[in-house]
Amino acid sequence: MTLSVSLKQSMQEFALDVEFEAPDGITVLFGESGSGKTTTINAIAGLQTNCEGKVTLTDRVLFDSDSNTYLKPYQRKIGYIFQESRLFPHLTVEQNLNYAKRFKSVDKSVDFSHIVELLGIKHLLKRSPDSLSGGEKQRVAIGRALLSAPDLILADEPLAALDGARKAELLPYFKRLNRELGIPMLYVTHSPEEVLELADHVIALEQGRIVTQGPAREVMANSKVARTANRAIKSTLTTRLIAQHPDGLSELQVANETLYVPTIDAPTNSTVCLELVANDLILSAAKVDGISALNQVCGTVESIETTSSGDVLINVCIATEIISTHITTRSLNNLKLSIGDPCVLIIKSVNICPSNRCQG
Amino acid sequence: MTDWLGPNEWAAVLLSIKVAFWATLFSLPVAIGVAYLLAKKEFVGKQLLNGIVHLPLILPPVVTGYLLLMIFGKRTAFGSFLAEWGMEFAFRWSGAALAAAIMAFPLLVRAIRLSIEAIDPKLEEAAATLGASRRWVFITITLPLMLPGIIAGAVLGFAKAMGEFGATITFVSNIPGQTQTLPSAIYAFLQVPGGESSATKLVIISIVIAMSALLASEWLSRRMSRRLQS
Repeated sequence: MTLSVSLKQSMQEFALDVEFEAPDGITVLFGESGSGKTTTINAIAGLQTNCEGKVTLTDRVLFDSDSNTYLKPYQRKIGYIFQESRLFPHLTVEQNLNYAKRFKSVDKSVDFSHIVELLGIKHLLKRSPDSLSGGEKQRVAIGRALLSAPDLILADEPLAALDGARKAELLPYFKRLNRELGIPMLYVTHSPEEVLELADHVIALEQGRIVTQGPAREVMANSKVARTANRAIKSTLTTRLIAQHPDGLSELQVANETLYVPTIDAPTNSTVCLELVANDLILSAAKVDGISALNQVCGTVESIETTSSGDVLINVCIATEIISTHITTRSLNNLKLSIGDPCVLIIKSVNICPSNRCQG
Repeated sequence: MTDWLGPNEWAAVLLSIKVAFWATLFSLPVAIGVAYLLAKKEFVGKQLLNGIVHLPLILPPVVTGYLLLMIFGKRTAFGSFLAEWGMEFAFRWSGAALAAAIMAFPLLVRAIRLSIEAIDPKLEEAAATLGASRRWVFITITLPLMLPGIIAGAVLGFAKAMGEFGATITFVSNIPGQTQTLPSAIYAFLQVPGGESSATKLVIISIVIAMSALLASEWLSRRMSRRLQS
């Protein structure tokens, strides 16, 4: 089964022009938001119709703007796993899973109990979707897509709405599904970890064009892709709002450390979750005087990893949370830091933005 | 109960329920269709359709009744054509049902349209990727999810149909036992000396019916939306 895609779309602010083939296995479409990943898979699924080009699945033409062939989404036999799971709220888990079975175009030979077992959702069958956790919902959504007996699975950032622990719990399922069921998958993500974990083949997109494609290690080592990947490394920090200052800053506290950020519209004493981009953080061995950055937070080095592009990622422990910062090997050598050493993270206030990803 | 109410009063109550029941039953499918069109589709004349649907809400009911008489009256071309097929409306209980259906229609459409607009179109997309054609998406996803709106609209429409007076009395007059609904009966009793006690009984019955309909719909839609919350 080979998916071959050639798509063009030009809008006022965005142009898409991609051409690729996805062989069996897991193909990952990798890129930042706005790079055209979702437009591409929506066009493959038939949910977006304002593109030109051609999409074929082995010898089946799904869409061809030249011959005006356009299969409706329900005729394409493509399972779609969405970011927000999209379970039907008026049906139980079991009814959600069996939803596709009522349509005569759907092959009913898919083994229900095998899929349910594979995803570990047997105990959830009688429940209603709103009583499930995010990870459980997503597992049910995967099962629902598989039970429609698709020729191809599309997954649009299926883990993006989950926290770190749930992500780690769900990732192996994708791998196992592909191995055991042999259905080719096109998986969209902006997370380099997911690429390295899952991909047999990676297509890196930037601003609607393919930057490079090939085996995961090769593509992620490409300097242009690495830049995108590094921008995507983010950490979260849970803080408490202490006070609002009249000069447009909010004062936050985490353990004994104080942070100043552009005004956050939240009541005093409420919990505020911050998102920190690894590339925006400066690492120092000690506190520094006379610089513009308002925040210098003390922590200890938890671990040091080498990135796919040959730089290093220093994971710093602040209170109980881990913040990743991305620096060059030369900086690390100059700082002479090793695991367990105290260090200081220097953070510009304007680089901090509130996030809703914190858990617990 | 039959002793407490005179035969004419009893007839008015039963007729009102019958009229409101048929009015709601027949306008409901049309209202679902129109609400779906207005909520989901873009087409030429959408605003015009929207205006026409809402017209009975804004026009004086007497005007609606007179328009009905002009269209469905026995002496008009359309009215006599329908009469040949055995469908006569003017001065019949079926006419009262027609008038009530038209007056209740905008309320039905509004409630149902709101419930359609509240449905996340992403769920319908998901159903399509699972093999559901547009018709199946409607039957298995859209329709069940709009059920609370349909129930709320139907109850509201039923209550409106029970109470409809102006268009009804203009179109089908006020014939006891035939076209005299609850409100027309109350009106008639108030026109004769000593009719107040009968009128009061009917007023109490009106209040009881309206209140129980409202409570029933609240209960039903709360039950539904609890099930549908995601």
